[in-house]
Amino acid sequence: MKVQSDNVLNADALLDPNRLDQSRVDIGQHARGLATDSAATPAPITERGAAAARDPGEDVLQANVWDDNSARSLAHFAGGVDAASIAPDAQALDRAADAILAGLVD
Amino acid sequence: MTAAAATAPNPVIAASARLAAALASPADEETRLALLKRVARRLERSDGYPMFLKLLKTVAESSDANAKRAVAETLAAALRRDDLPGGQLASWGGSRLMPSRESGGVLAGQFLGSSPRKTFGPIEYLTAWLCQGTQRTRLGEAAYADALARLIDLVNCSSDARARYPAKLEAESRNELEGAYTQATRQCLADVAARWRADESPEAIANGALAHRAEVATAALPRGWLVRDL
Repeated sequence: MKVQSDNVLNADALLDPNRLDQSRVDIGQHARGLATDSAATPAPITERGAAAARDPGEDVLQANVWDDNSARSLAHFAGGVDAASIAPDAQALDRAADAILAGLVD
Repeated sequence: MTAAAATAPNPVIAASARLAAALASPADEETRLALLKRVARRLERSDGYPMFLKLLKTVAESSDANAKRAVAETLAAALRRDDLPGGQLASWGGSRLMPSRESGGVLAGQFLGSSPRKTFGPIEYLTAWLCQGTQRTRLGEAAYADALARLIDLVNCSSDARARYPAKLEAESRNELEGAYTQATRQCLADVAARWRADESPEAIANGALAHRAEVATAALPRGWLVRDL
C-alpha cells in the first residue's frame, strides 16, 4: 500500500484519535500505512494488505493439478519408487526421497 | 507433442503418488516416518515447505483410500513421537529483520544476524502463516481454508491421528514460548482443535475458524487504535 506523504497526518494528531481524519486512516490492517489513498473500500481486518503480492508458496498450494476428467487415482502414477528398498539407513532414505521428488526438485 | 508427453502426469501428482506408495511399504513405522521427514526437509531447504503441504493435500484430494491411509498412519506415528515433519517460519516479531518483498526490507539479515525461526507441523505452519507476520507474505484466507480442510480430511483417515492431532493443537494453543505463536494464532489453533474434537466436518472447521478469527479481531480493536502487525 502506497503511503502518500501529503496524506500523512500531523504527528500530534496520532496522539489524539479525535483529531484523526477517519476517512483517510486504516485501523488495524496488516502492512498498511497510517494514511492511505484507498479508504473508500477498506479490506476486512483479517486479510493481508490488498497490494501485497501473493506468496509463491500460496500459488503452489492453490495450483490445480488435476485434470477435470481424471478419476483422481494415484495408483497409476506410483512407479519409480522401489518400496522394498526402503530401509532404515541414510543412503537408502536419500535414494527414496530423491525418487519421490524426481521432477519437483533438482 | 508426443503421446508420452501428452499422457505424462502432473509432477505434483506423480510425486504425491510415489510418496504415498513409499509410505505404504512394509518398512517399519520409524523408517517410514524418517522418509516422510526427509522429503519435507529436502523441500524445506529451498523454502519449499508449502510444496510438502501440497503433496499431502494432493493425496487428500485423490480418490485413493489406501494412499490416504498410508500417509495418515505415518502422520499418526509422527504425532505419537511428537515429531511431525515441520517447516520453518520466522518467529513473530522477527520477520521485519529480514529483507521483505513487501517493504524492500527494514534491516538486512546480514546486519543483525539471521532472523530466528521456529519449526511448525503442517496445520500449525498454515495457521501461523495466516495469522502472524513471518518471512512469507501472509497466506490468504481462501487458501488457508482449502488447505486446512484437506489436511484435516487426510488426518481423519487414521483414527489414531484423528485423536492425537486436535489434542496437539490444543496443547500448542497454550504454548506461550517466546516467538512461537502470537495470541491470534493460538486462538485460531484452539478454535480448530475444539471444532475438530466436536466432530465438525473439515470444511466447517476451516470456515468456522476463519469466522471466529474475524470476530475476535474485530472485538479486540477499540475504535481509534492503530495496530501494527508483527
